[in-house]
Order: sequence, then structure tokens, then C-alpha cells
Amino acid sequence: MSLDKSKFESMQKDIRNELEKLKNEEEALFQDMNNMLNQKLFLDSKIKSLSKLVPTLKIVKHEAQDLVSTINDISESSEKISGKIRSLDAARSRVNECQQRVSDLIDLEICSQGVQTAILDSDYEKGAAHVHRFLSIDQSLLQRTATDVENVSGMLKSVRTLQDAASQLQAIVEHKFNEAVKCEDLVSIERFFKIFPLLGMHEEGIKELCTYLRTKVAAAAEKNLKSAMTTPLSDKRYSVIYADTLTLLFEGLARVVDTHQPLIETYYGPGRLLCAINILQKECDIQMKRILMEWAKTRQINKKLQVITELSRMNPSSSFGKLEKIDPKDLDILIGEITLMHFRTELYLRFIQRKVVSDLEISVQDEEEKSKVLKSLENLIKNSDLTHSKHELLLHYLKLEQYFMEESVAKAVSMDTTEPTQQTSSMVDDTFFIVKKCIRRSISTGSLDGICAIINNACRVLENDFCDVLRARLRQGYPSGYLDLTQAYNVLQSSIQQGRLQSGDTEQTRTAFLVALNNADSSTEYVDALCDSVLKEIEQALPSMNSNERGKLESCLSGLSSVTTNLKEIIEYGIQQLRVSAIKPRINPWVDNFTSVNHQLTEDELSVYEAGESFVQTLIMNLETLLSSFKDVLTTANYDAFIGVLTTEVTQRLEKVIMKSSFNRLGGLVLDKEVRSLAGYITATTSWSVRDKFARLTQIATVLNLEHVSEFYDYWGDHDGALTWRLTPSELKTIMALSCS
Amino acid sequence: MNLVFDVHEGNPYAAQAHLYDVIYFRCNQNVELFLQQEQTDQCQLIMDDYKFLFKVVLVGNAGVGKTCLVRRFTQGLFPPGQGATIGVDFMIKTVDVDNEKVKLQIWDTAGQERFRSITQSYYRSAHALILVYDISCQPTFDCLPDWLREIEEYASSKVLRILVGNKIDREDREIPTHVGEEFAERHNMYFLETSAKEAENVERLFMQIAEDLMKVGHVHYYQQL
Repeated sequence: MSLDKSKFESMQKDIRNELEKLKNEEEALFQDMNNMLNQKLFLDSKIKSLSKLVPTLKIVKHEAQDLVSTINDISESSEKISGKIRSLDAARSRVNECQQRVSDLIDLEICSQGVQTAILDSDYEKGAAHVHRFLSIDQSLLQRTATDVENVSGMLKSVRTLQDAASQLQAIVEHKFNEAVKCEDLVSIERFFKIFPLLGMHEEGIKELCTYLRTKVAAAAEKNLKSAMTTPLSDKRYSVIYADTLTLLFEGLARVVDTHQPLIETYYGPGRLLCAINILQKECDIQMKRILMEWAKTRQINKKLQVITELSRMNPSSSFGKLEKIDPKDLDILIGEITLMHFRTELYLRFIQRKVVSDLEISVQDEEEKSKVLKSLENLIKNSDLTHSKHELLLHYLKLEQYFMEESVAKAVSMDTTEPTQQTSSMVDDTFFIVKKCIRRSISTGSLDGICAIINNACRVLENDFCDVLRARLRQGYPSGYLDLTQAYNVLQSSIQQGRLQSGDTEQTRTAFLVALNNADSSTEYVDALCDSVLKEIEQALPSMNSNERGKLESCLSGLSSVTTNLKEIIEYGIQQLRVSAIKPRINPWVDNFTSVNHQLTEDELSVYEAGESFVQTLIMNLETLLSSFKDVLTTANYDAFIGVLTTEVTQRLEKVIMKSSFNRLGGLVLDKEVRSLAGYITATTSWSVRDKFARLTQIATVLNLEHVSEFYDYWGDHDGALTWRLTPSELKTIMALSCS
Repeated sequence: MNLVFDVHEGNPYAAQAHLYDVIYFRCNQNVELFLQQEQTDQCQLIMDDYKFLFKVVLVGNAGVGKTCLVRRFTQGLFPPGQGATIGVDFMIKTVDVDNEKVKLQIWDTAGQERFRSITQSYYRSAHALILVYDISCQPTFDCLPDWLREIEEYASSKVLRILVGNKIDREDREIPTHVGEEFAERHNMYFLETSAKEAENVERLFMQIAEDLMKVGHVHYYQQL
């Protein structure tokens, strides 16, 4: 029942909803209808005006059709006109061609008539000019003309005459040129050289000329080499005579290129220089090799290199002395000659490159073609014996220079002397002089690879040979010997009495140690200066380095400048040695005296203490003596490092003995004063700031100087007057416990 | 007290460690220069920041493909018909190892005898030496002992040494892999076969070197701390 009811209710609800919806719809429809009715009037008027337009549209359509037909007519007639123009153009070009052919034919006739008389008159220029005109006529066109004209035989005859004349002239010119070469008739050589290109014999012409030039170069080189070989030892150019000979060869070749290039360019056109240089290069290669062979024989290069190689292979300890060493000084001049030879070769190669490239710039526009020619130039240079010989020269140079550097540095080390007034010894100046000389000499070769190799070698010699010596000297140690001044005096006295001056030996070892330390320090400056000056010189000598070459150089130079890292390690080692043997044993007893002083003073005791010589006065006096004995014998940087280490030692030791003492307030006051005057003294002795090293001591003194524990909070905490404490809280506690008050 | 010198004597990493000192020193130097705001060319070099710089030198007979290996790694190219290298060539590539920038300075040396004086001078400062032979050319393998002798003479004793058999794309192999392997093992070297042409193992070769050098570098770095 209730179910039915609920069903009925829901149905009722649905129906109501539907009704509502329908009502809404009805309303909407009604609204729409109203709207439409409203628009009806407006639409009616529109339709009326449109119907009026219909006849006008018909007229427009007709007119448009008329227009289309007119345009069609115009296009048709213009097609016709342009067709006529085209055929006119064709006709005109044919007329031109015809004229050309006629003029060719006329020229052909004239040339064929003229050429024989010219040959008979020995007027080869005129004959060649006729042939040149003939050759400039399109031969295939001539063939076609022949099939078109009636008088074929006459024309063909002319062609044949000219062809004959051409080959006849070619043979004559070649013959005459050779004859001129034989009689060294320069005028005729030039005359016939100019005729070759007219006969279409460009390559032959250049080949003939260059072959001739080759003989001239060869003859001159032969003469120069002979005179070089007979140069007496006394001649002042003797030591570089082969470099001179080589220079003469290159200069001769350069002159040949310079004088003949305009000739070739004028008569053969640009872009032919590479061809000429290709031929000349062969002679250059031959002559260079001959000169180098004689040079190697005279200067006994191979023997010297062999000795050097064997020396380097030999174990220096075992078979030492079997082979006689070459004095590096004897190699000096020879190395100079090689660098000169290498540089000249480099210059000549650059000259050729420059010449060909500039010839190429004006002759070839196409980039692809250009790079092809450049590639062949590169190959010519790369594969030439000249380049190979250049590499050989560099190889010899590097071997000799390396030996020179190593041996000279070894010599500088073995001849090391110390002037009494100098802080450093002679080996530093000498070594860096040698290294700089070698690097500068490598710069004069003009080869970046050579420079880099020598810089690498210099780096090795400095890091190994040179640094090892300094290291070994420092390893000997600084003899501490000193006990006390009076004791030292007694030892000295007894030694003198016994006739042996032991202390002299110790003194010598000491000096050697300090000098080595100073040497290391001044070497760091030398290394930096060397890198700077070398870089500048290289930039001047090789102004057109690319970024890659620069990177290479910079990498090698940074290797050289990192020698300073080694030197700084050595200095640090030396300073530590001094700390152990010269500073610690002397300072400890001085500072330990602090414990024998009373730090719990009454007012009276205080005034007595201050009237007498206080602890700190004695300490400062002792330090003064110690420092003054080192001040003049150490370089500034080393002396500063020495004071740094000394300060650390003194402050640490003093801290230790303070911890062993106990203080009353007056004792704390005195301590505070003494710490201040000690810090003041040491700060005054050095350019570095050492005050920081006193921070802990000053703070200890401050704590012990407190009148009351509560004052401590003036210094502790986050507020303004607070200190940044170097002491830990537990340390502070211990220190406060030292105070009796 | 003797600590500074022990680095050169007792410590097995001595020479290597020293080299790394140099590296750190150099990096610091660079940073300092940078701070000085020097507007020189060098600035360009400094701008690419790197923490490690390693020098890798390639050696071996002429024509075994050293230049091609370097080109393949640095430029991804295989240019055939290359002329012989003159003297020493120099390339740089920065790689990432464990999120660190590692700059590899690769020195490609000429194999020809007449450049030996130049190439030898680069051995000493090398961190890694790659000795290359051609697996299709017995003579290049036979020369390896000579090359090793040269390395012994001029290079640091702690230098990382790698033996590489190149040109495995070739079908006319003359040296079997195991022969190369055994040689490398006997002489305490790493071994890898590569093909610059097919880009096989080239990347791996250089990355392995960078990683290995980094490991040694790190050991030292933490020792310092």
C-alpha cells in the first residue's frame, strides 16, 4: 500500500516536472514566434530591394564576358609579336656568327699568307701571333664552316698551312731557345720564352725556362759550395760558412723567383708560379742535400751525435771515463750554425708559400679549386727533401742542444762558488743563464716544435739535475753544534790550540746549507722571470701562431713555471731543518727560564723585578742575537719564513711553560706586559704579520690578568666587547686555575 | 719532519703525487689569475672550469693510427688519407667523470724517427702513455720493446701505460688478440683493441684513462685533507 503510494507520489512528481518543462518550452516557442514576427517587416523590405537589383546583374555579366574575349584577343596577338621577335633575335645571332666565321676565314687567309713569310723573315713573333690567332679560332666551328662553303679546298689549304706552320714554329722556337740557352744569350732566351705561350705551349715554356734556371742555380751553388769547402779555418765566417752557403742558395733561388715571376705572369698569365716552383724545388732539394752532406762531413756531425748517444746510454757510474766527453763549449758555435741553417730554410719555405698563395689569390676565384691548389702546394713542401732536411737539422739541433744544456748545467753545478758577500752561489746565475741561452737559441730556429722541446728539456734539467743538487745539499742538514756562546768560544780555542779548526768545517756546512736555501728561493724568482721573458720573445718571433699552437706553447711553459712548486717544497724542507737544528735547541732553554721566575709577586717584588733584567728582556736579547746571525745570510723571503717558524716555536714553548707556573694578579700583569713586548719585538723584525701567532698567548695573559672571575664575562659571549677565542673552554678553565687569586 | 721528502722516496705514489701537486698548483694559479680579471687570451683557457688536468701522450710507429684515434675521440671524425704528423699535435677534450670536469690534454706524436727528439721531450710530464700498434702489421708490434725502452728512459716511472692494438676493422689481422694481451700483461700495462674507423673502443679507451687517473688523483686529494 505504502509502496504504491510512494510510487504514485514519484509518478506525480515526474508528471509535474514534465508539465513544468512543457510550460517552459511553450513559453520559449512563443518568444521565438514573436521575434520572427517582428523581423518579418524588415525582411520584406530587404527582399524588395534585392529583386530590384536582378536586371543590373544581368548587364554586368554581359560586360564581363566582353572583357574576357578582348583580353584573349590581345594575348593572342602579343604571342604572335614575341614569336617574331624571337626569330629576329635568332637571325641576328646567326648573322653575327656568320660575320665571325667570315672574319675568321679572312683572318685564316691572312694568317696563312703571313705566317710563311714571317717564318722566312725569321720574324717569329709575327708568325707566332698568326698562329695564336689561328689557335684562338674555334677549330670545330671551322670544320663546320668547311662543310658549308663552296670554296672548301682554299680554306682547308689555309688550315693545313697554318697547322704546319704552327708545328714548324714550335720546333723552331724550341730549337732556338735551346740554342740561346747554350750560348747564354739572355735576350734571345727571353724573346723565345715569350713566344711559347703564343703557340699554346705554356707548360713547355715554363718547363724549358725553369730547366734553364735550374742549371744556373746549380752552377752558382756548385761554385759557392766549392769556395765554402776551401774556406780557411782562419776566416772569420768559417764557423758559419755552410749556413752562409745555404743562405746563398736560398737567396739565389728567391731572386730567380722574384725576377721571373712578373715575366711569367705577364706572358703566361697568373696561376703558373706553382708549376715553376715545382721544377726549381727539385734543384733546391739536390743542392741543399749536397751542402748538408759536406757540412756534416766537415763538422763531423755524426761522430759527435754518436758520442752523445753513447754517453747518454752509458751508466754514469760503471763505464764512466771510457768515452771522452765533448766539452759543451766546443758545440756552442756548431749549434749556432745549425739554428741559423734551420731558420734560413724556414724563411725560404715561408717565402715560397707566400709567393704561391698571392699568385693564387689573383688567378683562382673558385674556393674549391683554390683549396686544391693549396693542398698541392702543401704536399710539394711537405714531401720535398728540403723539408726533410729541415727536420733532420732540427733533430741534430735538439740532440746537441740537450747535451749542451745538461753538460753546461752540470758544469755550472760542479764549478759552484760562493762569494762571501753573496747570499746565493754562482750555480743559480750560471744555470739560468744557460737555460735562457738555450731557449733563446731554440727561438732563433723559428720552429715552434723545437722551442717546445727545448722548454720541456729545460724543465727536466731544472726539476731533476738542478733541484736534486739543492735537495742533496739541504739533506746534509744544518749542524746544530752550538751549545752556548761561551762554550762555543772554548771549543774554538781548544781547536785552534790543537791545530785543527773543526768549527771551520761546521761553518762551511752551515754556509752551504744556507746558500742552498737561498739558491732555491732566488731560483723561484728566476723561473718566473724566465717564463715571462721567453713568452714575450716567442710572441715576437712567431707572431702568427694559431690558437692550437698557442695552447701547445702555453702548456709547455706552464710546465716550466711549475718548477717553482718543486723549489717551494725544497725551501719548506730547508726551513723545517733549521727549525729542528737551529731554532728549537736554542730557544727551548731560553724560554724555559720562565719557570725559574717567581710569578706570585708582591708590590715590592714587582718593582725589584722591573728594575732588574726581566725575563722577556733576556729572551729578546737572545732572540736578537740569533736573528741577527741569520738576517744577513738569508734572502728576505727565507728570513721571513725563518722568523715565522721561530715565532711558532717561541709561542708554543712559552705557552707550555706558562701552564707549568702559577700566577697572582701582579704575576698576570707582568705576563701580559711581557707578552706584549715580545709580540711587539717580533712584529718589528719582519714584514709579515706574525701578530696572529700571538693570539693565544695574548688571550692567556688576558685571562691571568683578570682581577675577578666575573670580569671574564666582559670578554666572553656574544656581546660587543667579546673576543673571538682561540682557546677552548677547557683550556680556559685550566688557565684560570693557574691564577691563585 | 721529513714528510716533504718522503713524497719522493718511500711513498709508492711519490712521482704521481708530485704531479698532482703540480696540477693543483696550476688550477689555483688559474683561479688567481681569473680573480685578477686579466683580459688576456689565457682568460679563455681559464673560463672553462676544470678540476683536473691530465696529459695523455700517444706513441707508436708511423701509420698505426694515432692521429685517427685522437681525431675520432676529440672531433668524432675519421679523415682518411691523412699525411704523417709533423712533430707533435695537441688537442684538448673535457670529459665528465663522476660529475667532475676532467680536462684531457692529448699529445699526438709523430711516429717517424726524425721527430724522436721532439716527441721524447713530452714523455716526462705525461700522466698516461698510450702505446699504439697496428694489428694488421707485424713490424709495428715487433717495435714495442723499443718503445718500452724509450718510455722507461724518459717517462715518469708511475705513468699510466696502455697498450692499444688499432685497426681491428681490418680483415688481414696479423697479431691475434691474445698475443697483444699477453704482451701487455707481461709489461704491466692495460690492454685494449680499437678501431678508429668504426669508432670502436675509442671513447672507452680515453674515458677509462680519465677515470683511472681520477682515482689516483682522489687518493692524493684525500691524503692532503
